[in-house]
Amino acid sequence: MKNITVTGNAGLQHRNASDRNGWRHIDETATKMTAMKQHNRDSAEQDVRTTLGLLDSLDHIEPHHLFRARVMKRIDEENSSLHRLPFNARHGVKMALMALLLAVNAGSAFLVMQSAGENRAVDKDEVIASLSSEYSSPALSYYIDRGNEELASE
Amino acid sequence: MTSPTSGRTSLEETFSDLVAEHQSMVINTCYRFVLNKEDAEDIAQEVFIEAYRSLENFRGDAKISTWLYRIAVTKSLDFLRRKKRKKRFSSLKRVIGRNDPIQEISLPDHDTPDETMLEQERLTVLENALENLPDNQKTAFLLSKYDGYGNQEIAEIMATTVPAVESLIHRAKKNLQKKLEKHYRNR
Repeated sequence: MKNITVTGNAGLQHRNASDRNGWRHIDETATKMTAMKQHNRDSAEQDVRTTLGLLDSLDHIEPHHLFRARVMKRIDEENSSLHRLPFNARHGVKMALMALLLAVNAGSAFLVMQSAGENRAVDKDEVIASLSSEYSSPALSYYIDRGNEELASE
Repeated sequence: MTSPTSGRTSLEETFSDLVAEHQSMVINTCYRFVLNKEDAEDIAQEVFIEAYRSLENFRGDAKISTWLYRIAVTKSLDFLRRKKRKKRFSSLKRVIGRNDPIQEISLPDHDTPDETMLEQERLTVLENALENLPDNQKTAFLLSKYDGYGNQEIAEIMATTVPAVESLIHRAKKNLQKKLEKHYRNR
């Protein structure tokens, strides 16, 4: 309570002084913070530069003395595995595919021809059936009966 | 035609010369991408095998070196994609409690273990930043970091123009800077 009830010039001076101290403190903190921020920024920029610089400082590497030999060995292996297959086997895949293609073509052609033949047979039967049904219709029965009677009398 | 001394065909002899001529450039190109010597050699081997297999497809409208370096870039990018997938999978394994040994990146020897650790950390940060760059920016930027390539050659490898390469490099630098700054400020 005593601290708050300080009055008069002395009190005012004291308050001003403490205000000034407070502001100075705030100023100092702000300056420190700005400096710290600046430092962090500088340090980050420095880190970025150093990190990117790693790519520039990558050393030139010399190939292993067996590098070419290894590559050629692998090529030799690939080639020999291809040559190890007999001629017929190498071309066998192609021939098998061609044979399969021919078989499929021949099969489909046979199926088409067969279905066409069946259709034709059906058509013939249908025509005969329709003709016979037309002439056995009641409209023609008179002529058929008359014809039968004439044949019987003869 | 088989050579009586080596038992190799003339094609193989010619190819062997081609390997000798370009092995260093191919390995170093791959090294810029994968940042690991052993991986770079393995990829370079695949590059030459692939080149041998597809020699018939080489149309001759580009230099054979450009064609080789193009294969090297493609293979290196494939490797990085596989590595990224692996990394995702191993982090998943870590989540479910099965740890994977962290892949080691070979670094030059340092005086103190602290320095080595710091550089290892920086390299990991750089790898992560590079990982998220688009492939074309990554390619242009990494090739530009290797003394062997000028912008003209990078343009030929990437089948694009020199101004396009310059723009890609510029964008890659900006993106990398942004990613790295973000990382170091949030530390």
